Amino acid sequence: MRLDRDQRRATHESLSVLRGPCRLRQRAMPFVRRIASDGRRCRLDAPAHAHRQDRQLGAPAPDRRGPHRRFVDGDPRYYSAVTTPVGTPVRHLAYRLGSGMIEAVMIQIERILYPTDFSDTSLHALLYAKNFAEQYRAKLHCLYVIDEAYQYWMSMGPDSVPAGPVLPDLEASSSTSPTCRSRSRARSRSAGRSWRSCAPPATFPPI
Amino acid sequence: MEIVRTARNLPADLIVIATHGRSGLSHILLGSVAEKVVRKATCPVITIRHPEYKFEMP
Repeated sequence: MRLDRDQRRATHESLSVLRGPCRLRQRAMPFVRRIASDGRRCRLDAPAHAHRQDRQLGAPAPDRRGPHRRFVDGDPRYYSAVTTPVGTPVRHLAYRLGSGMIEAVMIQIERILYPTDFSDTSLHALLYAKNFAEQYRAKLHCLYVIDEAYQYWMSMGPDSVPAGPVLPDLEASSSTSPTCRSRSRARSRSAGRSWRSCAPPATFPPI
Repeated sequence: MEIVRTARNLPADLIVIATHGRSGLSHILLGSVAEKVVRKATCPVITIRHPEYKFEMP
């Protein structure tokens, strides 16, 4: 049975994941090599650059014609082991390669997103976000989303919702933020329109 | 949703978000943001509760 194009592409893509720029690739390679030499589980050894990768790391190329190989080409059991889209980090392969990878692959948290509304509760969450960012040496991104519906209800009266910050306050607080690596991103869906300029409606919308 | 979209575009590896920033009427009107983020985000989400937030049986 021959490979069809999709199966071949799937095998190739899964290899390009392992060839991609990932710091964990070398730590994951022993497991990949073991699986590649274990011919009954997957076809990591099929394209030529897989052997090149193995030789670069000092391992002999796996014997593709050995007697241990029990499944014929095109058997879905070959391809089910490692088939991921291009660009998937190696750590995402862990659950596909089996529990042995879990020891080899450390999760790597590079960017932490911290959405905030500047309330006391989110300030408490900043404590956790900051500590996670320091432990993982991650970059902490702060995000405040300007909700036009919220500003709209706020424009109805001071008692309708608790007061939230407005854009000049956000810019001032981002420049004097105590976290050194945080980056404030104030976003508005429509920047040109101010919520103050829209008039409150005559009747309440149905809830 | 902006938070989920930003987390996907960065791409973020983790979202740390507080629950129950708003309460009462505005919570009913606006819904829980953190709940939507947990449901729709592609990366792991850690939700942080305020220590003085009183527990209510759902």
